[in-house]
Amino acid sequence: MIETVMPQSVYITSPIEPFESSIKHLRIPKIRQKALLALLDRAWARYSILDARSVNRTSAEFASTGARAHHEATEAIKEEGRELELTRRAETGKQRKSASAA
Amino acid sequence: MPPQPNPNAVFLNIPYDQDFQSLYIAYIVGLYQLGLTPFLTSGIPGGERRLDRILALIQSCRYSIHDLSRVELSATPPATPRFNMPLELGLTITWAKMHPKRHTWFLWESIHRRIQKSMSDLDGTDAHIHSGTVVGVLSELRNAFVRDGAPSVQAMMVAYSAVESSIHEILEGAGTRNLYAAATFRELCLLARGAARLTQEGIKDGLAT
Repeated sequence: MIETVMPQSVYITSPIEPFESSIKHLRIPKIRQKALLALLDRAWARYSILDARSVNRTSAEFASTGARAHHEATEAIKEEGRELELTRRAETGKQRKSASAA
Repeated sequence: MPPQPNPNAVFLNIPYDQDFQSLYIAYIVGLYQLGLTPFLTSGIPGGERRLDRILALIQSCRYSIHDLSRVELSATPPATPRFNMPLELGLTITWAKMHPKRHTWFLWESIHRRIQKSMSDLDGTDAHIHSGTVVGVLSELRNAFVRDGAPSVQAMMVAYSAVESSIHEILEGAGTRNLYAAATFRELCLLARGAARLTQEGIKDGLAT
């Protein structure tokens, strides 16, 4: 018999705090909040999720196009994620090498 | 006796270094995606009462994550191991032993079974292994904190990418390169919370699941 020990996990049932109250404790001025959330919206749009959503809502004819666009965007994001990881690993490797050389 | 802990609060005990930045962002984004709120010691001022404040922060959080993946000596001389994280883990274990219904702690590592070598007294405690990757952190967060309607790792990765791409402007606005500074952490939290809202809207619409 193979015995395996899994890391601990918990089942969360506590309700998710509403957006407005959850950001209150961050104590960020309203103007700055607005600017940062606008920045996030632009970044989000770059990943085509909002575009895919609006396309999906139009008609059955556009549904397949929307699904394809969503799939392509997802693949691009995955690829970008992989690239980010590779870059991060390369940088980490370089820093470790220079640290060990020092 | 301190008041009851915030049921969604997670104390994040992580290394504050350059190499760890992407995983740091992943923890913050991932926790918000799961409806949880991260807390760091970076906002706590120094001084003799610092340890008391750290303990108070641990006590106010229902959960804690202790990432012991950086066990190497520091690169800058004199080469020194990090003792703050094991110290905070020790405080947490003691608190959780005294009040198991108030606190649950999790161990995170990047390499399988290394914890048995670096901290053999914790034998019998299995760590969540993130392999030093963003996807690893997000995936293990989903394994550790199970919640109905939680987004997929793929959807969490979209949120991570959106937040990560905004970091440069946060740092520029704050006039710092320190992503762990208290003000930067708060802004990062705002973006991560905003991204969680967008993900949830996507889930409601049947997308990004």
